[in-house]
Amino acid sequence: MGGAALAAALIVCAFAALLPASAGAHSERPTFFPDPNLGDFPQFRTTGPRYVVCRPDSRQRIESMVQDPTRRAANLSALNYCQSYTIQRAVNESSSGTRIQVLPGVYPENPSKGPAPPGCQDVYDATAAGNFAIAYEDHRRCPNAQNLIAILGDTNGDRICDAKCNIQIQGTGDSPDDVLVAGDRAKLNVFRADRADGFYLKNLTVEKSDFNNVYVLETNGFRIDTVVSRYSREYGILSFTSDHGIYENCETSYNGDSGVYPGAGPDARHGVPDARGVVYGIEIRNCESHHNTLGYSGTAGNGIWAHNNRFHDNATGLVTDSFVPNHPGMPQDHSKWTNNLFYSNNFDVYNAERDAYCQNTPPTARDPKKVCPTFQAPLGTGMLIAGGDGNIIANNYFWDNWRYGTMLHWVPATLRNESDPARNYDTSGNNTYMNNCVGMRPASLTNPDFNNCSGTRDPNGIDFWWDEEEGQDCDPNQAGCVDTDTTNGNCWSGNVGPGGMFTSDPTPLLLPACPGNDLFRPGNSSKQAFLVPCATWDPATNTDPPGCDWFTLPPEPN
Amino acid sequence: MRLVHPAARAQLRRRFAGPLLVVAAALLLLAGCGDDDNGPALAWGTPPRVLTPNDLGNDRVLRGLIRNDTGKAVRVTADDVRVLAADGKRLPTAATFIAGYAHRMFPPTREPRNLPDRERERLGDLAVIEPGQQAAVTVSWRLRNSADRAATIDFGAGKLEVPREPSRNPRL
Repeated sequence: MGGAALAAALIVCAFAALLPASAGAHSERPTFFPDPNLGDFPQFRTTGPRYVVCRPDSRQRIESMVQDPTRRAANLSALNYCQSYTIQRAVNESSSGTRIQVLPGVYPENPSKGPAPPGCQDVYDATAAGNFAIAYEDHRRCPNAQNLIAILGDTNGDRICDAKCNIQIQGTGDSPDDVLVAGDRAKLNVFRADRADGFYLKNLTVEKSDFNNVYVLETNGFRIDTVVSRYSREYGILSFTSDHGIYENCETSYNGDSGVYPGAGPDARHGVPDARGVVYGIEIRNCESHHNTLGYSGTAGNGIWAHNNRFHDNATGLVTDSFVPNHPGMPQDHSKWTNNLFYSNNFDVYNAERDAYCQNTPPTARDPKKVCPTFQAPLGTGMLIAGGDGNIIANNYFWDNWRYGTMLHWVPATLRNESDPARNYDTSGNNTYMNNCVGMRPASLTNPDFNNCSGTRDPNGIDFWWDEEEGQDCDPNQAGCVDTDTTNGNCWSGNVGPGGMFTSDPTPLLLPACPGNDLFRPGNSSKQAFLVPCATWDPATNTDPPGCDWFTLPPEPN
Repeated sequence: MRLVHPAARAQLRRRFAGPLLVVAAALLLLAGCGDDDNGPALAWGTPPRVLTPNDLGNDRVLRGLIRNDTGKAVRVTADDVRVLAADGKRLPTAATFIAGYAHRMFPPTREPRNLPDRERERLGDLAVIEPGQQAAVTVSWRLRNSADRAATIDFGAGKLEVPREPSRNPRL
C-alpha cells in the first residue's frame, strides 16, 4: 500500500471508530481506497470462459428486436447454450475472467427477492430496520439481502479481489434497450460490484433500485460501458473508493439523487501523474445525464476526468463537494471537466405539486418519471463546486441554466468533522475556469466546436457565481495547514459568451485572472449567509425554507 | 418592537422549571421588565446581522453568535427556535447552528432515528454551549407582508430580540 493510500486508510479507520457504520452522503460501511499501484482500466474481452443467460422469451425477443443479422444469428446460436434465467446465478457459477452474456429479455431476478435464506435472517432484519451499512462479510454471507445481483470478489478479507475478478457482464442485443434488469425498487442495489476488480458491465438497461442501480465499491478496475440507468430512488451509477474506472457511453435519467456519482474518488495522485502516468483514476466520457435531481454528484469526487458528456435538464447539472464526514479522500480535489455541455438544468423537482406527490406516494408506487429529490440543490444551475480544490473546468459550454452557469463556494471543514481548526478554510481554492463558452448554445449538440465559442445566444441567469472566498492551500498529507502552493488561486481566464462578454457575481473585473491570487480570504459573508438556510431543507417537513431561493425556479433570463 | 436596550446586549433567559415561575416570568416580560435584571443569561455574542435576499423580499436571514453567560452548559435545538412578530404571531422559521452551508450525510427520508448529539451538532440541529462560549446561529423567517417585521427569536429557553434591519445588505 502506498503512503497516501495508507494515510487515507488510517484516517478512515479513525473516523470509523468515531461514528456508526456509515461512510458518506449516503449510508455505507467504512471503506478503503484500493492500492493505486495495482489494478488497471479493464478492456472488453471477446475470448475466455463464457456463461450464457437468457429468459423464456429470449428467442422471440431476438427475432423481433435484434435487427443486425450477424448479431441475431449469434444470439440465436448462444440461446442453445443458455445455462440460467438469472444473472445472479451466472455470477455464482462463474469463476474469475468469465464473460457472462445476457440475451435479450427482462430480468427481474426473482430468486434474489425471496425471503431470507438460512443463516441470513439477522442481515435481512437489519436491512429492513434501515441499517444499510452492513459489513462486507455480511454481503458475502447474504449477497441478496440488499442486492439483486452481487459480485463479491474478496474471499479472505484482505480487500483485494481473489475470486469473481474480471467478471464481464454483457447484454448481447443491438442496444441497451434489448436487455432490461428490472429492480422494482425491491432491493437497495441492482448491481453491486464489491471488491470486484476488473468488473465490466456493458450494453444493458438497469432500473428501479431503491439506492443504486449500479454500485461499484472498493474496486480496482471497472468499466460501465453503454449502460442506461434510470428510475432509481437515488443513484444511477455510483462508484465509491474505487480506482481505475471508466463510465462511458452511458445514459442516466430520472434518478432521485444523481445520474452518475463518482464519490470518494481516487485520492492518491492530487493532479500529478503516478508512476504509470495515470493522473485521473476515474474517467467519465460520452455520457448523457438528464432529468435527475443532479446530473453528476461527487462528494469527495477526487481525481475524476469527465469529458465529452452532456448534463442537461437536471435540477443541477453537476455538484462536487466536501460536505460530510467519513467520505474517504476529503476534501474534494483535483478533478477535471473538459469539453462537456451543461445546459437547461432547470428540471423543477422542488415545486409544491411535486412536494405533495412525493410526500403522499410511497417510493414503490411512484411514477418513475416523477423524480422525488433526495437532497437539496440550487435549481437552475449548471455546475456547483461546494468545497473543492485544484479543479479544472475548461472548454465546456454552459447555457440556459436559469440561475447560474457555475457556482463556487466554501464549505467549513468542521462540517466534515475536521478537528484541526487550522484547516477550516481548506476549501475552495485553486480552481481554474478557463476557456469556457457561456450563454451560447452550440450549433450541434453531438459535435460542438470546443475550440471556438460559437452558436446562438441562450443566457444563463449569471454565468459565474463565487462566494469570493479563497481557500487556504493545506497540503493533504501534512498535519495542520501547510501551504505548499504559493502560485495558484481560484481563477477565470479565456471564458467568453455572446459578444465576447460574460456575466458574474462578483463583477468580471473582480474575478482573478489565472493563475489566480494565492492569498487567503474568507469571502463575502452576506453571500455565504444566504446559502445556510438551504441546509435546512427537508422534503417532508421543510420544502421551502425561509431565506433560501434554491427551490424556486428562476425566470428564464432574457 | 420596543427595544429595551441595544440588540447586541439583548438577553435570553433560561426556561424556568416550575409552572409558577413560568407564569411569573411571562408577567415580567409582558411588563417589559424581563430583560432588565442582572441574572446570568444568553446574549448575542456579536451584533447579529439581518439580511434580505435579493429575490425573496419578505424573507430575512439573521446570522450571529449567541454567548452563554448562564454559568451552565446550555442546549439549544433548531426545532425549538421560533421567530415571533411584534404581535406575537409565529412566523415560518428555519434555524441552524453551523457556520456555512451543509448537507446531511443521509437523505432526510432515510435519516436514522436518534442521531447522536455529535452528528446533530455537525448538522447544525443542536448547539451545546458551554459557559462563556459562543455558538454560531443562522435563523431565517418569512414575513407575512412587506410591512411586517420580526420582533423576537424564541430559542426555547427564552427569547432574544431581533435587531433592526440595515438599509441594505452589508458586506460582513
